[in-house]
Amino acid sequence: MPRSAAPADRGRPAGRGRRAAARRRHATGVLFTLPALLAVAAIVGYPMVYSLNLSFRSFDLLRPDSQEGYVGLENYRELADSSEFVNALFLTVAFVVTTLVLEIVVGLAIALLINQNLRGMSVFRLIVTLPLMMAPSVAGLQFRFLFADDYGAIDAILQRVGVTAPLWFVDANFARIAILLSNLWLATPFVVLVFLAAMSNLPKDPFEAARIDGAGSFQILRYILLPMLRPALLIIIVIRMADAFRMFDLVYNLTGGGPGRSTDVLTNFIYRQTFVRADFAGGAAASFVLVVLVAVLSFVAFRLLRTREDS
Amino acid sequence: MPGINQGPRWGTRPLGRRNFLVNTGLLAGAAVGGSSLLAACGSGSDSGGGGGGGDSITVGAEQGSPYTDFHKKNAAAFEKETGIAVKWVEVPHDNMHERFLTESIGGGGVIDVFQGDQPWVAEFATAGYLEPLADYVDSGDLDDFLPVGLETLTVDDTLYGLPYIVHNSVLYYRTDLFQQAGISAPPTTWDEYRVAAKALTDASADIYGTVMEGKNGIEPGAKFMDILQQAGGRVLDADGNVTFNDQPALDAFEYMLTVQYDDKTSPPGAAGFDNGDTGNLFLQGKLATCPNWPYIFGLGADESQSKVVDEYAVALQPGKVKQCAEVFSWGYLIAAGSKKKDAAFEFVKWAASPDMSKKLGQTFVNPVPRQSVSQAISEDAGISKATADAITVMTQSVAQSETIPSHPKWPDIHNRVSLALNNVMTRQNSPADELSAAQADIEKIVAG
Amino acid sequence: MAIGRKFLTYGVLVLIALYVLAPFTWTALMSFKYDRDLLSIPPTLLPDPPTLSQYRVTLSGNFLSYFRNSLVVSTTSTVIALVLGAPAAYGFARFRYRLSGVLFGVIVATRMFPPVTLMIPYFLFMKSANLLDTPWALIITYVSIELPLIVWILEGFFREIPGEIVEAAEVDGLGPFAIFTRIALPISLPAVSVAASLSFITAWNEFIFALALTRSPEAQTVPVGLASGITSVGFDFGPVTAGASLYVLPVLAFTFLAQRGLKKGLAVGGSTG
Repeated sequence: MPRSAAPADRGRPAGRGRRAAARRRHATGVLFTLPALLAVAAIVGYPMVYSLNLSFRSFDLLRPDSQEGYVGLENYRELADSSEFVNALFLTVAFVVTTLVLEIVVGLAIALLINQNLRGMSVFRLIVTLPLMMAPSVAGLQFRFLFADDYGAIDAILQRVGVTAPLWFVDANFARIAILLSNLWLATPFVVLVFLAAMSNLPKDPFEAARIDGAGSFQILRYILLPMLRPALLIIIVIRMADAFRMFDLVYNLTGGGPGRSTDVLTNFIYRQTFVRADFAGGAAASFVLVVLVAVLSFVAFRLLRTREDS
Repeated sequence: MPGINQGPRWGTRPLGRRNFLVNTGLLAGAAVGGSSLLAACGSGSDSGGGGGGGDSITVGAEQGSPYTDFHKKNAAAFEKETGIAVKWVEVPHDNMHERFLTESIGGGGVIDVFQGDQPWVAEFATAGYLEPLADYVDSGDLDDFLPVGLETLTVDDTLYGLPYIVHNSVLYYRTDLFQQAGISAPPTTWDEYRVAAKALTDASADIYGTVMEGKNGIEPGAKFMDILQQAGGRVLDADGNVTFNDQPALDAFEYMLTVQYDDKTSPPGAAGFDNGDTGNLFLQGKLATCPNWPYIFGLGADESQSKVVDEYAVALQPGKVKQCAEVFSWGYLIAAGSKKKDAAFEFVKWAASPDMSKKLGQTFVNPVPRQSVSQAISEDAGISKATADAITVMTQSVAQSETIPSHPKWPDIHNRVSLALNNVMTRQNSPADELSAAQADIEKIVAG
Repeated sequence: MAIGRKFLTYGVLVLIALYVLAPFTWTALMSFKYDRDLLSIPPTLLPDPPTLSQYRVTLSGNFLSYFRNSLVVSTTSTVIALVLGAPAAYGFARFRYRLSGVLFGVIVATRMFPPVTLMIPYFLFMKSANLLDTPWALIITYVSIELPLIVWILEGFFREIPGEIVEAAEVDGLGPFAIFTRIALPISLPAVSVAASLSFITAWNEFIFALALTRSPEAQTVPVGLASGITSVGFDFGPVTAGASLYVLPVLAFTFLAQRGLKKGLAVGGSTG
């Protein structure tokens, strides 16, 4: 979100009075923002620092008498040596990349369909956005009812039309597809709405000019529409990437990370490491790997899309 | 009955259970059962902490478990007798360990009594989360318990709980389908079982001869340990050495894979099934045989949940080296963080009392860990022959089987075994590779 | 546009609509079935006959307690986050000071952090403060998620208030705080209600903190209560589907009614998956 100069700064008196007024304004700004800043420092900043510190220590809650000294990077080294962690890391990155591509392609396609000047589009727009605010945990349960092998609607319907239904929670790839499909259901409404908002602000002329020049639909999409949608794309990628990396509720309720560990994303690994194995320090270390990953990739996405826009 | 959790709670089908209790026709104290049921279904309006003695304890228990429901329904009598009010906190089986662990790490204080599942008793005892019972129990009364039962709740020679169930899985089979297929007796060996399962499978009608439960969960992991034990294998030997990666485990996996993917006598989705799924499939008439826990015997007689009323019996599970299944116990334990330990022990004692044991054994057709009671139940004149036979089979099954080792890291070990099962049965890894990976992981867990 | 293409457009959109509606519909259908229909294999598609018995079981069990906790926790945390966040957003928007841009950026950037990072320290803090398994554990943690959200949304709105209005008020002798409470807040009321709603729904939907920090029905919220209906003994389809349907209704109604207002705050809060 670009921030323009505050309009209130305009038209202040000049000279010393202006400096005094500026000081007063600064003090007022501090006063207004201080409570929230203190709160964020206390309930976000301090816990983060505490957790980072914990990730460098030996910490065993099950043995209250154990040493809690610093062990340097030991917790991180253990993660690197753990095939379970590496598997979770790989699956998470693979999931984020796949789901982002899917969400953007499907979201753009739906936005283009709905953006047409046809009757009834407002109804479709309403329906498509219904999952926007749904709790991912509950969506996970609902999709479990749909995909379930014996009790599920999908397999029952497929069987009625004579198709052998896939075993969604036995085959690793189908389990991953089930997660992608459910996540698509949850995430696409946001993508569609951002694209629609961006499309509603586009000028009409370039499209008409291109059409007169005889450009095909695909060419218009590729060379005119997509470049214009780049700011919207940036918002979608940055926000959705952060959300995809943190996905937990859906996996926990839909597959539990299975079959085997084939859908075991990092958040699920961290939860298990912390609360099933009571390894708080290891969980903290893994969670900071996740933080660094999100931070670096968000930064990269930001730079990539912005510089392209400048050139 | 005081307390917030009363009433037909989240996760029960009170009507079904009631029918089931009545239908079994075995409930000796039908009047008591009925009145406590009414109390259980009554209003939760009177606030907690009441009761004559003014004491109130909180019991952490497995959600959805028929045994939990049984104790909840009968707790009214306990409350009346002792003046101690009982509140319940219920947690699904797969989350019990994690919930009770966070409770204990958090210093406790919420839960006074844990419904103890044997696998994590050693871990909790070693960490100091459980109260030793030596100062509470009457040693004369202990002599009535099966030694193996007390052993399951003993860690480093210290007793931490009184068992109310010691049981293992037996083979349920459909008498009508066996008759149709011309099979005269339940199979006793794996080979016989495979042959029978083929004869019993009718895939076009969605009926399968057996089921190879394979989800990555505690229950399927336990069922796999049945098959491992039948092949003569153990995850840990008596000295605590990891002996998982050995011929018996390979045999067990090869057998399960053959049944699942070559014989195709187990439902195609079985690798994703949990205990509840296979139980329901059997009750829905979709399985000709099914290894499962004793509690299914009672459910099978309940018409609102079962389509196989009067058409099943139980037998020992077939074996390779021997006919057996992993023995597990349940007992109530006192939380070290409890501030009401005396009241908590009253509950522990009550749940394992001869009266309650007898009632439980009769209600569920379940073997019980008290010797005097086992005898009394099987000699009871009011019991049907089918039920008496079932109890005999279940008791024999426990007698000739081994129980899981008492190890402080068992929950993590058990989880690794369940994962191995699921990895193999969903064919993400070959038995040999998975076993060597699991062996290495478990050795790491044991080393600490 | 060619008829064929129009037909194709509608066809695709209808398929998409079916997919979007399927989870709600199937869950709702299940919630009106008797146990024997829920457990039958293959499942019956329609409830035959429909029954409200699952709702009766749900409402007489712990569900009301979960629901009450969800309401209390979401409302309280939203009020606290608004009281802290609205003035801060106003300060960031209208009174720049050295570092204010950076500090605003820091607050907004916390939106990007995976909450799982905070779960571990929160568990240990709540443990030492004896707040585990209480609504307060969730209220405090939810403020940490909602506050950045509210600051982010409202800052944009407050920046758009025309300078002339504020200056006129200053000429009338109103101080900054009075201008905030008597002018800025009232004219931004629609924005504040959007921010409050999104904040509320964020708390209403939250799962991982509730899973880690609460463990009894006295403190657990609906998402955790629903998830605990899955057990290895069985799956309580009836109560879980009935509870899920009841729980989803208010959120659906809000999404339905607030189509227009949502767009503003969308980029910040509207993404769940």
